[in-house]
Amino acid sequence: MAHVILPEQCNRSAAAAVHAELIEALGSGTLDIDGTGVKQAGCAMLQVLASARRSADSVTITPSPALHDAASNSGLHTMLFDEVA
Amino acid sequence: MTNEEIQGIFFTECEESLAAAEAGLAACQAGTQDDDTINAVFRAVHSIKGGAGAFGFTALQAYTHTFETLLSDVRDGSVAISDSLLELLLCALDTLSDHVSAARDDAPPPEDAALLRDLTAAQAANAGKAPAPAAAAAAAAAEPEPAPAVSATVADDGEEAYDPDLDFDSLLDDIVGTPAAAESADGEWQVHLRVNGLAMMNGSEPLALLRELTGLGARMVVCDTSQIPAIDLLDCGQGYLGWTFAVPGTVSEAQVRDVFDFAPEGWTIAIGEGEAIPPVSIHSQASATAVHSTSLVIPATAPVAPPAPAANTAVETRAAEPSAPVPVPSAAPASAPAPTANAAATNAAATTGQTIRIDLAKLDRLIDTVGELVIAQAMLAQRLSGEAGIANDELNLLDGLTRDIQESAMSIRAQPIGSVFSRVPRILRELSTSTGKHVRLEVVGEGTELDKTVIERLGEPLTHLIRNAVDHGIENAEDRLAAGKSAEGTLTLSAEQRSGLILIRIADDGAGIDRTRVHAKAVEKGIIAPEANLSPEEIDQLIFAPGFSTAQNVTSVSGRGVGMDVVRQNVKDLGGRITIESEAGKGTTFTLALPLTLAISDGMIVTVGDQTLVVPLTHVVESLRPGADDVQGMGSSRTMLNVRGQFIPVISVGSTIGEPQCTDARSHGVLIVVETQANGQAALLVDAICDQRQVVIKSLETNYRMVEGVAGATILGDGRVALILDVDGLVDRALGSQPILREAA
Repeated sequence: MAHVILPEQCNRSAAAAVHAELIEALGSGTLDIDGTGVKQAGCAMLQVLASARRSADSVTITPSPALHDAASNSGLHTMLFDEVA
Repeated sequence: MTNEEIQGIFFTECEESLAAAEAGLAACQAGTQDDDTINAVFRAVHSIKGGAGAFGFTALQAYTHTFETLLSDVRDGSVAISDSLLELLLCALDTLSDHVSAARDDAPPPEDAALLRDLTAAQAANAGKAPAPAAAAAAAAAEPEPAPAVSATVADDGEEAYDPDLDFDSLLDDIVGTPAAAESADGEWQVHLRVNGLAMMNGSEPLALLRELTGLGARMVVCDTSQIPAIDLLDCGQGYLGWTFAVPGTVSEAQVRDVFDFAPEGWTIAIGEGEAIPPVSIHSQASATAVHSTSLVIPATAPVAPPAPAANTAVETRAAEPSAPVPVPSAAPASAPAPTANAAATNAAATTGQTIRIDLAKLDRLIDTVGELVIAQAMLAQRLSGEAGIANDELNLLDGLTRDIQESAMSIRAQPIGSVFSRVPRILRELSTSTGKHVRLEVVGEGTELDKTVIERLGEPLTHLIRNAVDHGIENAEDRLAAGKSAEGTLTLSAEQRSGLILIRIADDGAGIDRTRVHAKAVEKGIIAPEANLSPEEIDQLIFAPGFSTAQNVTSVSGRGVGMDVVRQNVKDLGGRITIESEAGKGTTFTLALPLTLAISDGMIVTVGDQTLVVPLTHVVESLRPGADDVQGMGSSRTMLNVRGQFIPVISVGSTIGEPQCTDARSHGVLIVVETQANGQAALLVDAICDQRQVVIKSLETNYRMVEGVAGATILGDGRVALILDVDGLVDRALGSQPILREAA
């Protein structure tokens, strides 16, 4: 299982870095994205995560409260996380 | 563009917004309290808040939110404008300025808890308009937390910089309640948003704007994710998301559009239930994107009606045909409560902007190049002037065009002096607090334009002069009343353009310079001899002497004795002069005469021996060819010129600069009477005056090194380099005496 850890600051430049990492990681099957350390998340990162979830069924994202809130505020939480909103 | 560059633009815009807010509040104080003025202040603060949120300046954002909420109440008319409210708003603006500085300098935010409490207390919900008893009870039940406590929470939480979502949203809820919950579904209207690549590229954070929208009470109905492509086709710099929000009827379209003011080019907005989320606008690869039809419908959590069917239909239609543009219905349903139902893309507003930001270095290069062009044109004209058959018309045309280009280039750098004057109210407020003196400010000619460099370097001397005027010039209220004046002092700032110079006057209606005290102090400090017999004007000049200060105590305002000589030096560095007029009991006026620009100067072209020199016209009073009796010897080496009964020293420029071939027969030379900063008038002896023209100033210091008595250099039409005289330095050096102690006629 591939494992990707999200940085504390998930801004646009972080999204670009994670994007490249996810493309590579998704090639190896199941993917676990660890977002428990995220303290700030922006729209660019949420799009990348949403795209990753869309691209493969076996992508799990574990959010921090900040990441969860950002996803909720943008209406993406049900798409990103395996939970009932 | 890097994030730092974008932040730099944000802080520049903050300065502009602060100045606009300051101007608006000043207009309110002056009695102009119309909607436009209030709106301008609101929008300025709102703009800062938007940027603060986008860049994660949590403390700044939280502070501006409270400030903005009060301004919103003022705008709505629910809080009445009063003198005390304006004072509170001005105080809040000062702190906002400190917040911006702290954010820019990465410094701790200023202490604002008490001010936030005051701002919150002044809001309509708390003071401006008392709620009805029943409503108040309901509000109290729904919202047990009192507003002032919330303010304290904001201040405390300001240091937890990372999670603006939680703090800010809870803050919004606490302060303004949940408008959506208070609204009936009947009044709701819909706004459809699409974020595009520009919003993702320019450093703003779309989520911050969504939070603001939610803060207004809007409720997310639809999040359109259908355009998000697979990971390998995703472009991180593009925006793929769209939303539909249900907005309470109490919120106007203008309020919603205000939210997107900070980054209008990054969003497409459509309003009304008949509209839909605008289509994605991305480059060609988007059309090849494998799009999944999975629009998310957000479960309604607020106690309002579910999304209107029209909105759902629109979403479903687009989901089925993801890449096709969504058809826009020609007419909105009659029941749509939105102010206007026609789709309006904010992009149009963005493209009609009438200003452009230019890197100053690029502008400087343009100015330099234009300077070279002027010189090349002059050289060409001079070289061809002796040729036969030359078409002078074309040369004259070229000359005119070159001057036009030069003036246009210089005008790009010109800024209204109002940008400097706008800082003065704050200085006066601070001085009022520290000295207890209330001063009314009158400003004249704030639209006068001068070079940006001059503007930037004017702030410090102006601040010194204003502090001195209030601290030393304007009397205490009791003294003023005893002298038959109003208790409130008046400080007048004026700027005007005259004869190629900018004249800036700082006038107070205070006691005037106490010349007896100044004289005594100068003697005490050893600046002048006790027996020195000085004219009133010469005594006034003493306050510019280094180390001079008449303040009894060193205060935070002035009294360190470093003020006025620094002012004079600053003004001199700008190629200008400062003069004083003072009348006992009436007040003092400082006049700064500054060049329009530091790049070009009007100069008198003179010859001394083999040298061609330039005397800056700002110093020239008159020129004359003296008669034999007009010049008289004095002492062993000094000669004096009798100018209509007043004797002024004659300085041979040739001797001073070491040019042996100059004339020393005074009756054969030409004398140029110049006004100097420290030595009053003097007469410069030169061989001849050749011309008077604009010269492009080249820095000698940058290209060679500093030379005493020389302010710079220029290139003449014949290609030769001519030195521009530093008249003050030259006269100082020639007289070899202490400033001020010059011979009296």
